[in-house]
Parts: sequence; C-alpha cells; structure tokens
Amino acid sequence: MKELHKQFDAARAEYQAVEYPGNLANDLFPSHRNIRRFILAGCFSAMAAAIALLFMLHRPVVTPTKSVAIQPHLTATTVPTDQNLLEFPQNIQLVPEYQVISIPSMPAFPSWSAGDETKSSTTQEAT
Amino acid sequence: MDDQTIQAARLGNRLARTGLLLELQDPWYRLCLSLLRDPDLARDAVQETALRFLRNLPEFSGQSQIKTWSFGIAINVVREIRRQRRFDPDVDLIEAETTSAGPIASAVETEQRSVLHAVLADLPQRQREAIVLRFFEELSVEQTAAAMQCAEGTVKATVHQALRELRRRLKQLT
Repeated sequence: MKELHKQFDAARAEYQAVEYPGNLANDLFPSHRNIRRFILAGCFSAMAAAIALLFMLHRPVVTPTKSVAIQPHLTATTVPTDQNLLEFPQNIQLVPEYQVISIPSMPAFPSWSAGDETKSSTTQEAT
Repeated sequence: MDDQTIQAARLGNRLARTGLLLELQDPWYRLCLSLLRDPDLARDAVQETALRFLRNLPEFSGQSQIKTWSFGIAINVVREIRRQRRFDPDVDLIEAETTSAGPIASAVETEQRSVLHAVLADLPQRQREAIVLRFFEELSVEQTAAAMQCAEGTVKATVHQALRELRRRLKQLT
C-alpha cells in the first residue's frame, strides 16, 4: 500500500508539471494577430494619406489670371439691314476692251553647218 | 476563476473567454495527454475541447465547478478520438501508446519518472479516466462522476477495480 502511495505521489507531481505547449487562445483565435496587423496597416496608410494631403495643401499654388467676365449687354450684335450695305456701283465695265496682241518672232538658232566649222577648228588646235 | 469572469465569458466577452482558456488549457492538456498519451493528439483534443467549451458555455448552469464541467467535455472528446483512431486501420493507438516517446510514455524507460504511468497505460479506458480524475486531478467522487457522466457508485467501483489492477501489476514489476 505504501509503495502504491509513493507511486501516486510521484506520478501526480509529474502530471502537475505538464503544461500546454503554447497559448490556446492564440491557437483558437489567430484572427487576433490579423486584426492587429490590419489595424497597423490601416494606421500606416492613414499616415501616408495625411502626409500626401499635407504636401498637396502646402505646395505653391499657381493662381490663374483674372478672367474678364463677358457681359452679355456689351457683345456686338449685327443686325442685317439694307442701310448698312454699300450700293453696288452701276458703271463697272464687266467685259474688257479689245486690244491687239502682237507676238514677236522667235530668235534664230545657229545652223548645223556653222557648228561643224567651229568643231573642226577646235580639233585642229588640240592636235 | 471568479463568477464575474465566468458570467462575462458566458455573455461572449472575448477577454473573459481568453482568461478562461488560459486558466483551463493546462488542466485540459494534462488530462488529454494522460488519456491519449500522444502530445499531438492531446493538443488536438484540447483545441476541440476549447471549441466545444466556448460553444456550450452559455448553457453552463453553474451547479458544478466550471473545471469539472469542462472535464466532461474533454473526456468526451478523448473518447471520440480514441474511437476514431481505433477504427482507423492506419493507426494503431495501442501500439502508439507503448512505443511513444512522449513525456509520460517514456516513464518505464527513464527510471526517474514514475512507473505508475506505464502501468496506467495498460488499464482499460474507463479505469484510467477514473484514476486520473480522482488521484491526479484530485476530484471528489461526485465531481469525477459528473465529469465521466456516470453514477457515483460506478466511479467507486471503477476506481476500486483500477487500484486492485495497479497493485497487482506493480507487484509484478517489483
């Protein structure tokens, strides 16, 4: 009986020393980490967006030239009336007057024979 | 584990539930490991126990201790796993128990550890459950009966048979 008690005491001590390896809540709810990551990512993107917005707001703004508003009552309006039109002149001669056109004669070209004489004299000089 | 935490956990408070799991993970693991004798299986059993525990927590009436009540869930999970493994032709749980190099299975090999665990491994499942709950978890007969979902008389008889068997086997070893 004593032996069994000893064995039980030793076994109980060994039994009580055993622990679950890890964290059960983390094993069951891994989304905890995902949520944390999601929040971190959200914070970073929000910061990036805020910085981008600051840059956008503080950059040199080019102001456009003041545009002149066109007032509708100053616009020119043309009213086609007969008074504004110029009268068509009556004494314009539509057909040109007759003129005699004389074409001068064509200039004369040198004849072939005259050319041969020149050529022969040149050849002689070369020889 | 105070009543406020349990009540908050019942109502779905995540922090309270995490606290309960943190409190119960070691007792569940000890129980599952001593009954299954395989660290991986025990871990799976603990996770399944935790899921069922959280699912059934709103139905917890508070008549018994939450630890005792949760042991009932853990024992059911262990029984289911053993049943599945026994019918699985690829896995021989009995062989795994005797050859496993887990912290409890190596009790015989390393003389520093208790030989009782090795002897316990050969006991029938019900007797082992009763011994672990009564003497290792130090539950009362009533609590053991609640966890094992049987009558108190059954617990007494099972423990008696288990002790007689343990004595006989220890005598053989010495």
